[in-house]
Amino acid sequence: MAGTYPGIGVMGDLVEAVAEFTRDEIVSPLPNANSTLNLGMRHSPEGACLPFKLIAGSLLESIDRGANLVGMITERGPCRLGTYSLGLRLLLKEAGLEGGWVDFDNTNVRAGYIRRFKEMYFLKYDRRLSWFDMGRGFVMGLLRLAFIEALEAERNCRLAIQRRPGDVETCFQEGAEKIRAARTPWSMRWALGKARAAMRSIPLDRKRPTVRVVITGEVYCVIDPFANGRLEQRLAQLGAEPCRVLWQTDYLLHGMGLGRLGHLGGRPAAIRAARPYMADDIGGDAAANVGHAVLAKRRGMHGLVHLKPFACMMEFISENILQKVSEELDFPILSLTLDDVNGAERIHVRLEAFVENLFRRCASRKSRLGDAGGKRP
Amino acid sequence: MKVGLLNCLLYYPLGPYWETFFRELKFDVVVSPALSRDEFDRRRTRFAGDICLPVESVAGHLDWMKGRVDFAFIPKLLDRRGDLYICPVCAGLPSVIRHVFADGPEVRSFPLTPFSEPGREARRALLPLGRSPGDIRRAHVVARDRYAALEAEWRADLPGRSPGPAGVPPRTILVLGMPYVLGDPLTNGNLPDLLRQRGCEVAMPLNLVPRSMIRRVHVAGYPIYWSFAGMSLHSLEVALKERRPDGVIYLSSFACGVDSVVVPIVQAVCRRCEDLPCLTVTVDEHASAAHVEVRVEAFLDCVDAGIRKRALA
Repeated sequence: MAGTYPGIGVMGDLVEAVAEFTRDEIVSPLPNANSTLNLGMRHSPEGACLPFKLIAGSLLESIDRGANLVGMITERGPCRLGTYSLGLRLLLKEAGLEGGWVDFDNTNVRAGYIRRFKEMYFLKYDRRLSWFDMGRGFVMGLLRLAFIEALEAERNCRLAIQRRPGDVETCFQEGAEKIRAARTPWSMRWALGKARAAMRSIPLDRKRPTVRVVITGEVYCVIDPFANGRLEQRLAQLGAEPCRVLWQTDYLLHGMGLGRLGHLGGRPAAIRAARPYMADDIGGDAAANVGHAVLAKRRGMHGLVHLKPFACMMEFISENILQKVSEELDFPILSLTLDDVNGAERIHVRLEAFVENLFRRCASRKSRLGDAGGKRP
Repeated sequence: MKVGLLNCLLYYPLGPYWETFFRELKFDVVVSPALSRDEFDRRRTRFAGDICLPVESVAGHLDWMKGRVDFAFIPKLLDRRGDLYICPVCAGLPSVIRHVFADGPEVRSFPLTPFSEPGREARRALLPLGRSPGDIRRAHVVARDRYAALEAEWRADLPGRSPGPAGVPPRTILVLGMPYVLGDPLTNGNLPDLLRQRGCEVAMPLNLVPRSMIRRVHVAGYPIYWSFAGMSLHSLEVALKERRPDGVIYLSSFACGVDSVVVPIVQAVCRRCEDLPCLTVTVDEHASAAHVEVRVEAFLDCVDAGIRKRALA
C-alpha cells in the first residue's frame, strides 16, 4: 500500500522521516504548479478556498501516480480545515477514486496522530510495528523539520543582501539535502552547522539598505511558495528582508501542548499580544496573526504582509482588526487576497508599491530621528 | 434604558428569545427595521475584504441605531464546548465592530442563548446596569419558555397541513440555508414568498428540526461543527426520511465559507436520490429579484416534470 499526503511546504520531510522508520512506501506529492491548481479547480466546489483546491489537485496527482492511502491533516474547530477531509473524500469518490484514508488531528497531536498511527498499523492494515520505531520516526521527522526551518530562517535574512542572486537559495537547497540525508540527530545537527557556515561564507552587500517585512496570514498561503507567488523571493528582489513568523514546527508543538517552545514564544505569545484588539481566539490563525503584527512592531520590523485566501472566514476577521492595529501602532500592513485566478503581476505591483512606501518611511524617520529602524541580522 | 437588537444575522433564529429576555429585565428593546436594498447600498462597504451579504448588512443596522439606543447587543457565541457553534465571522464580529464602527453605538457582547443559562460574561455586562443575578436568571427562564413555545409553532407550521391552490399539483419544496439568509428579506430575495405564490409548500430547517441547531451532526463519520450547517443537513435527512420533498433549494450567500462545504454535500445527497431536483441560488450585493424569479420558475418546471413522470410510472 503506497501512502501519500498533501504537499504543504516542507511537511513532506516529517512524513518521509516517519516512513523511513516505519518502512512504508510513500508517493511524495509533486511541488504545486499550475497543472495542480487546474486539476484541483476542476474537481473542487466553486466556493472552496485556494488551499483546498491546491490540496485536492495535489492528492489527485499523487493518486494518479499510484498512491492508494491518503494521510490528511484535520483539526477540530470552526476553520474549514476540519471539513477538508469530508469534502476531499466526496470529491475523490465522485472522481471514481477509492482508497484508504487516515486523518491526523492537528488539534491534539498526541491523541490525533498516535491514535491514528496505531489504528493505521495495528488495526486497519494489520502491520506489525513497534511503538519504539514509530516514536523514533516521529521525533526524527520533527527534528528534520526544525533544522530545515532553522536554515530557512537563515536564508531569509540573507536573500535581500546577497551579492550574486541565487547563491543563498543554492546554498539552502544543498544544506537541506544534507540534513535530509542525515540519519541521527547528531549528524543532522552537524549538517545544519555546515550549511550555516557555508551560508555565512556567501558574500553579502551589508551596506545595501533594506527593510524588514513580516509575512503572516493563513498558514498554507504563507508556507507554500506556489500559493503565495514566491512572495519571499519577490520581497528580496525588491530589497526587503522577508521574516516569516509562521512555522510548521510551531503548529506541531502547539498541538503537543508545547506551544511555548515555538519560535518567538510560539502561538501562545502571539495570541496574548492580540488581546487588546481581539479578546477571543475564534480559531484558525486569526488571533495569532493580529498578535504577530503587534509583536512585529515591538521587534522593530518595518511592515507586515498579511496573506489570505479568498473568502477565508478567519482571515476576514484578522484583516479588519489588522487595519486598526496598523492605524493605532503606525505600522504599515498590506493584506493580499490570494485566489485561483491570481495574477502574478497584481501581487508584484502591490508589493513594489508597499516596499517603496516602507523605504520612504524609513528615510523620513532617519532624517527626523537619525534612526534606521530594525537591526541587521 | 434602550437596548438595540440588529435585525440581521443571528436575530433570525434567536431574536425572539433576546427580545423577551431584555424586556423581562425592564429594558426598552429597539429592533432595527429590515434594510431595503437602497439603504443597504448606501450604508455598506465599511468592512475590508470580501464578505457575505448578511455580514455586510450589519453596517446599515448599526448606522440606523446611532443615537437611537443606549447600547447595541451583539451576541458572542463562541464557546467551543457550548451549545451553539457559529461561523467564525459571526464569532469574531463583536471584535471587528468595536474597531470598524468606533463612531457607532456602544456595543455590548456576551453569550446569550435559550439553550444555556446566562453565564459570567452576561452577569458582568448586566450587573453594572442595575440587574441582579436573580433578575437575569428569571428573565432567562421566561424567555426560554416562550422560545420553546415558538419552536413548537414553527414545527406546527409544517407543509402538508393545508391544501394548495386549486388546479396546481401540491409541491413541497425544502429550502435550506443559514437561518439568517432564509429569514432576512434583504438576503432571501423573497424566495419563500415566491414559492408560496406559485402554489408550493415551503419547508425550512426551523420548521423541520428547530432543536437541531444545538445538535452535533455527523456526515460520513465527520462532525459538522457549525450549528446552522448541521441544522440544514439534519433537516435534509429528516425531510427525506419523513416526507419526501419534490425539490430542494439551497439559498447560499456568496463568499460564505460554511456554504462552500455544505452545498456540495447537499448536492451529493440529492444526486443519490432518484428524481430529486436540487437548485443552488447564490445571492450577493448584485442579486436582483428577477434573477431569483427566473431560476425558481425554471426549477419548478423541472419539479413538475418529475411529478408528472412519477404519476405516469
